[in-house]
Amino acid sequence: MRILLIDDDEELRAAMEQFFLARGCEVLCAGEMEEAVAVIRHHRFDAAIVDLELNSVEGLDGFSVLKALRQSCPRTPVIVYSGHSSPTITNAALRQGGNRFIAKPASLPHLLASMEELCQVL
Amino acid sequence: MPGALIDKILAPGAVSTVFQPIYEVNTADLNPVIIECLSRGPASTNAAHPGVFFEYAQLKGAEPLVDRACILAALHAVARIANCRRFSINVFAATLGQDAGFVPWVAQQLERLHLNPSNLIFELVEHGEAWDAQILLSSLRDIRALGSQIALDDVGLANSNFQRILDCKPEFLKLDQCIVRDCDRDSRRQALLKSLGIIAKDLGSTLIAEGVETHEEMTVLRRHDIQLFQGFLFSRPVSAAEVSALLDATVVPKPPQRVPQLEYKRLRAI
Repeated sequence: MRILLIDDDEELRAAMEQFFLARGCEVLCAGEMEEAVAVIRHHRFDAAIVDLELNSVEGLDGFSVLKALRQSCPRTPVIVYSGHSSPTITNAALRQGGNRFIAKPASLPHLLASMEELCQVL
Repeated sequence: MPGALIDKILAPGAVSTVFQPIYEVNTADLNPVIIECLSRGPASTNAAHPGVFFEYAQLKGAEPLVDRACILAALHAVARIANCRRFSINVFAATLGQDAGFVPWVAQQLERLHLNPSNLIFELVEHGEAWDAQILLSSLRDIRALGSQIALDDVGLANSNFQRILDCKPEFLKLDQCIVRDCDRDSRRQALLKSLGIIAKDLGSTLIAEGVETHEEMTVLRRHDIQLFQGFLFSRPVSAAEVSALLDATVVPKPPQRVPQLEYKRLRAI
């Protein structure tokens, strides 16, 4: 399985990358919105985990990533993994392309299990 | 943002250059006549993929900065290839349309490296309209004054349009692979080739077919009076040492075969 990890937190991203690599996944990473969108348009992957706040003055530009994901790969499972977990944000993320919302912090095994479950369902 | 990809790209020496020759066909011989410099982002980053590299630069609005980094790397690489004469370098139209100092800066680099400006072809890549038309036209005049030439890249794809042909008066029109691919099997593509051949002739431009992968495609392209070719049929992008060897050789193309197009520069409009 090839996973796209999008998070501006370098340490968290590196930890997730190591975790998924150790479980036999291929991993693509991106730390900012523009990088993520470019990667989405030029690579194929089986699932994506997307943070909403990507180190930008624009604020929650993870929504731009969700839009790009839905344009380029409408059926790819997407987990939104964010510290912004108000009902308004959660609902917006699910409306704009996320298949599941998981609030930070969550355990990596839980993320993996959710992703595998989504991949089976979708 | 110390870990941002743009900082890694713009770090000194981070961008590298590979080369893909453009061949001229004379009867049975193929001679490399122009060397296209293709820039690569830093290895072990997402920008190592050319498509990601240039799309990211556009999304960041950093075309002028990235183009300067790419040109600097390419000129230094070309200066080390003793037998390289004519060479081309890709430039975003947005760079020429935003950065009025860009062409003078290129001129300074050419002089510093003892490279003849008349050997340089600016391959104009156009995506979007994020520039000032007056600055673009001024940059084009600067290129002419420098003695360099202009090629319009990706003709037939997205925003490489007729207005830009009129603006640029390019010496070369590079036909995108969307027209070249399978032209031997598609009468519609052959109709486009015929029309573009007439346009190029009337405008005084020379057509270059890029993305040529088979003998059959080349045969049809030659039938449409195209004499300059680039693509995996002739050579993949190669290192400076390899391109130097190619420049010394006359090549007979390999047998027909299709190969995956892993390459390609500045792909689609956003």
